Amino acid sequence: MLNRLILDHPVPDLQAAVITREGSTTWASLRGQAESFLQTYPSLGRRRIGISFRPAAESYAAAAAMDRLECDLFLLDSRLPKAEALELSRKLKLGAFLIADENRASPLFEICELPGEEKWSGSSSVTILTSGSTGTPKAARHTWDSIARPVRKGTDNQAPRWLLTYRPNLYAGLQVMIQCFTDRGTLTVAEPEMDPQATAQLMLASRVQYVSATPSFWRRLLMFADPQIMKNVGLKQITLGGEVVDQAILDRISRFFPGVRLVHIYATTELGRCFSVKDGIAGFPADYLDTPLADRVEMTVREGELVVRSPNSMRMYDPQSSQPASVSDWFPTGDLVDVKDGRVHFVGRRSDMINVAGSKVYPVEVERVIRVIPGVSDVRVFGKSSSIAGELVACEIVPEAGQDPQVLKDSVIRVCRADLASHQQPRMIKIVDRIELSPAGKTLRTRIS
Amino acid sequence: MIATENQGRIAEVILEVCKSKGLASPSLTSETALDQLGLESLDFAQVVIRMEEITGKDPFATGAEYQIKTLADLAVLYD
Repeated sequence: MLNRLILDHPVPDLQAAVITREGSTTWASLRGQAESFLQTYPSLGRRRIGISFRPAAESYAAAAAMDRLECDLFLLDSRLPKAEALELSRKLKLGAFLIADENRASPLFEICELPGEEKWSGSSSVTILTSGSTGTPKAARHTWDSIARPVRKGTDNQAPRWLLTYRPNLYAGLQVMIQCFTDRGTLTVAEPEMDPQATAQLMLASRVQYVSATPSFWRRLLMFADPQIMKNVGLKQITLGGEVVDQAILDRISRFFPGVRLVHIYATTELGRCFSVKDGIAGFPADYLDTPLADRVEMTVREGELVVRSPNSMRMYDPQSSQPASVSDWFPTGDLVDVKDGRVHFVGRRSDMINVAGSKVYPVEVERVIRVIPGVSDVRVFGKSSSIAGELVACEIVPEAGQDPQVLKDSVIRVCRADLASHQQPRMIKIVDRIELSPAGKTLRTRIS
Repeated sequence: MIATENQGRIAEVILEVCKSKGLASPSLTSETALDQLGLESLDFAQVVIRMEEITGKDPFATGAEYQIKTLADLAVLYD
């Protein structure tokens, strides 16, 4: 699938395919890189190959070539130090690990051959590695077809210009890339750790039209980037996903960008994309439940948790990963939901739940209360372990510019006391400059012990 | 009266917690009975976490049981 998009695609040669901070790569050059990979490394075919997957043309070209070579491809985070990436590749019993040669010499990749390679699966596949809570990551084996399946060819634009804000090796990042390349567009890469002002300038310079990002990404951008630059970019569509989309961020974005189409999607690494919502309201309609959706995705709620069966889902966990093989095609998402007044709302991850002396607290519910307090620009709620209560609720708050920290702290305490039960109230409030985001661009829920 | 450094620290933390609960500031001495302050167990957990931030110690982390009635009883665990 990816191999056809890049190797067989009739696209004007001089149009940019990938724009990064390092420069721009045309479609002709992207195809050229994929062809040269095919010629240089035919011996990698039908093997288990890992790649340090940078958000750059050479990674996409190599992935396309290895799709044609019917490899089992494993995408490793490019920020992983080489020694750790090799260690992980050994654990997964890969036959070789590819890393871009820093000297940019030819050939472009350094190939590290590894002993003890596991058997090839029998057809082209792409495995997404997500950090589990401990040790070996989860390894979700998709095919390029399963990732591309929910992608619809865009109708309103011949060569759309997309901004990639997600890590390129994770599901959301792959979806954005496939969507953009399916429409023969131009993919501009904003690395998540890029500062907001530089991101805004990059968006303006490459006249980005479509952005897919987490609410956390937008909060940071709207807070720190020059508003005039943002308004001048000329966005057509904003897609939110990757974490809970609350009404506050939907309203804030639609006020800031009137007339821009606002969509939020729900997807997981294992299940792929499940559905999208276009009405600008948080959550999703309850009639999406217990009935097959257009894409043949089926969803239901079991014990408060969203459970999904989807043809967009991964094929299996890689046998070398830490996860047990699935026994059912219904897959628990780990996302807890609340059905009220015909709408299904996300209340948080089962694993993010804070246990305060036996009472459950969902960080998102507390964040929702704090986020609307005047003077609060951003907030993150997490559990702090307590020898007395098991855990207590803690939070970090980013104040709006010019806000007195002590005054803000007092008003947060006052509002929480009025609106939250005692066990839900944050017992530790810290004023910070910024909220740390995870590699996937999500608000971190790391517990502090 | 407040006799030791740790009694002073605990008094300060208790006042902080009372303030955040909207309670009137109690006058505290080493003999103040902790269960007379209108604090619930989560408030007490909060006091322990704040004291750990200040002193680097958590006497409750070992799971040991203590007989604590007064502010001085609590403070001595941090000495």
